[in-house]
Amino acid sequence: MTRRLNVPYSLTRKRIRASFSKYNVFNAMTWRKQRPLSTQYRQLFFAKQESRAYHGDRLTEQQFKNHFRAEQPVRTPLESRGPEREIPFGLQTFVGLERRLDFAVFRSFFASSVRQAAFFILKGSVMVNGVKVRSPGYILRPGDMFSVSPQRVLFALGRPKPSVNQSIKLTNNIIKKFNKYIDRCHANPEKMWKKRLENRRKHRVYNARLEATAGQKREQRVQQIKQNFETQRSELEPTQLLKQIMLGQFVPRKPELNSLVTEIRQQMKPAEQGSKNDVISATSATSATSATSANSKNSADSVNSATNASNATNANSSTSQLPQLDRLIKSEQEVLEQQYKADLAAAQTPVYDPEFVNRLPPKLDLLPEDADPQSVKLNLPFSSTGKLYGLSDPAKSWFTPWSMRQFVPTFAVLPHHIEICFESCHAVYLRDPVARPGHSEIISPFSLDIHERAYLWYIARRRKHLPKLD
Amino acid sequence: MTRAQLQLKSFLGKRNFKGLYTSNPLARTPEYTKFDSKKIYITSFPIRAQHRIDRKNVAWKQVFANENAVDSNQPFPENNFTKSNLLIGPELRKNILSSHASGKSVQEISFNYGITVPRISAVIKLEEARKKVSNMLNGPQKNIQKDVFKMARNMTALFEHIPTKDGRPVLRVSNLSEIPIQKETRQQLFVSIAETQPFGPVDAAKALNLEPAKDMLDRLTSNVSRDGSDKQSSKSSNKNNNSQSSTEPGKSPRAFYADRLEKDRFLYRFTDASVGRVGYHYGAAKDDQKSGRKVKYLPNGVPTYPPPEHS
Repeated sequence: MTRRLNVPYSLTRKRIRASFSKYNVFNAMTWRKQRPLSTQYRQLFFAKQESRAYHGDRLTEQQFKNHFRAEQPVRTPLESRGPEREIPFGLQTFVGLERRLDFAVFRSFFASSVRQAAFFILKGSVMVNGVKVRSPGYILRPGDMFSVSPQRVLFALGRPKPSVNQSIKLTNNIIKKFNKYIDRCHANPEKMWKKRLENRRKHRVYNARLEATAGQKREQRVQQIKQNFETQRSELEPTQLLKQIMLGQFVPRKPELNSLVTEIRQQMKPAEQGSKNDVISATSATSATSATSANSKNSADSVNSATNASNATNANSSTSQLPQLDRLIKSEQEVLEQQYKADLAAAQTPVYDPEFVNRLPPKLDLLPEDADPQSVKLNLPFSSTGKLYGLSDPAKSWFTPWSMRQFVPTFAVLPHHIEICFESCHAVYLRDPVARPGHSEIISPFSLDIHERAYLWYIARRRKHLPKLD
Repeated sequence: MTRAQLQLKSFLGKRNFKGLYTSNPLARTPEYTKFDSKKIYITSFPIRAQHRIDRKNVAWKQVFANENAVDSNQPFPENNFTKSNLLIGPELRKNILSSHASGKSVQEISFNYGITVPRISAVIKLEEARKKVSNMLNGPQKNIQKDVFKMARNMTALFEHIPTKDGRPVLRVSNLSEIPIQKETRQQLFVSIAETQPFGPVDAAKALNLEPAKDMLDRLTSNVSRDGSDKQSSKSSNKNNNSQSSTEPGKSPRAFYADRLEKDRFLYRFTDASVGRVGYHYGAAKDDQKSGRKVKYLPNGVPTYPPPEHS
């Protein structure tokens, strides 16, 4: 028979229970009780009372005594390393309970409390080695594999499913919030644009899809800029540049270089006077030897040879301008690179688009109080289902789409004596939990002194001649 | 509202428009952007003296402030012997399974990765179960597939994984040379010996009637699982298993062969038996209120209460 508890999470008694409840988290966090020291009986009784609230509060004293054994399984390493650490023998007081199936189910996070685990077992949702077992007190043996129906696990670890009325209320809250956001976007578009970007940066996972499409566009823009840069840089090859200057197509990006270009052009006048075809043939003739040259000396030589080939008569006069031409190339390259970097930076930071306000969806009407969850179809941009909040699939017994219950991580202690597979809701009981120097596999919120006193309480009241465990 | 209720309200913090607690870091789940798997326990937010308004009231905002938070693997502040375990990550799991598939014995894998033999066998067993369940989730139970995967993702995100380098654990996961402490060693035993006689650990083991630690370790590592699921290891350590089958630890043999001596007058011999365990219990079994009765489970999972066995 299960021991009843009318107020499991009393704020005044403040007992820590084996449960993921938020009230339990509060009680565990504020638990600072003075140990009574007046008599030994009080010390032992206090220790027993507090520790048993966590370890098997579902069991009566008689039931618990059937699990209590005087043996304390302890392990020690063969080799000794460093200073000897204390072996917490006392923490093994409640090891008998950890062998129970309901405890193992709770320790494997397949139920949110030991009581719930026992309920699942009684309802036939738990199997041990492929056989349905309906006894919460089933004693597990090393190597036993147990499983819980995934529906039960989703229910136990998921957020509580809201009722239709609660869900309508919450959905209306969301709609109100959304309408307010739309209003603010229309009132202060630029401010909201910045806020939008900030939110996207903060909630990267949530906005992953939006971010992915925006990232694709950005990547296209960057590629375009890179391509433009490459073509412009190839135009700055010495022969190409000279050709452009000679043909009168080149306009320097720095105004102070204008005089230099006109000077070079004047010196090249005889070539200009000739037909354009002559110029092209002359430059192409020299391109084989000069096009790939990169350093200034080579470029100067190539320009020199180009001018020589095009107009032998003007050779002497043009040589004086060559170092200046080299300077022109360099400065042009600098300007181009600066421009490229600026363009790249601009492409990677999104530009404010005032038109985004017009693309926003319209405001929504609030749902009536008697809305039918099946027929509701919301056009919220962030809702993937378009259903009531938490009731995307009202037939399921948990919050849909599934979301983890709050405060579960606080008591989520991965056990050493059970190997768990969350994907299949299966677990293997490896062995009875043991203690070793400086460590105990028993999960307990209480200190060693409390356990030692609880052990003393039960060792004097234990049942002798209990059957030996396999 | 009582003082305790006010404190609880202040502890939980405000709820947002979706009904979620947002200001309490203990309420965070892996879906939250600010979730930190190293700061999930109550020990990560210690209540210091300056946070106490008076004997019973606490300034929770200060307790949950970022600068107060510390990384912790210890779930309960009072008990520093309890620590959370490390999870076998997907990469390490894959390596274990692939080495099992390549024909390595469980003992070999255990030695290579520094993980205990039962844990390795469990990983292999659970992989088979996972395959079966994933077939179910792809077929008849497809409607819960997304939710189950999300749950698994969230739950694994709660725990730290065993740190690995090149697919192997960086640090020792568990001590493979651990042996149980025998209860005989926990009490004093006086043995009178000559002053000149040397007395070492082997002599102590003999005096206590215990097997040497090395033998015990061999026995523990070769005895993989009860249901013999570990076929690889049973093949490789056939010799060990043969020797174990005759002396199963923890079980007294029901019958045994003994040499018949010449002087023996009778075919039978008396052995010691404890009172209450010998013979049948008379009376209606269903009315038996004897405490702590042994429960046996039939293959279909139904509990039975058999009468005491003959010794």
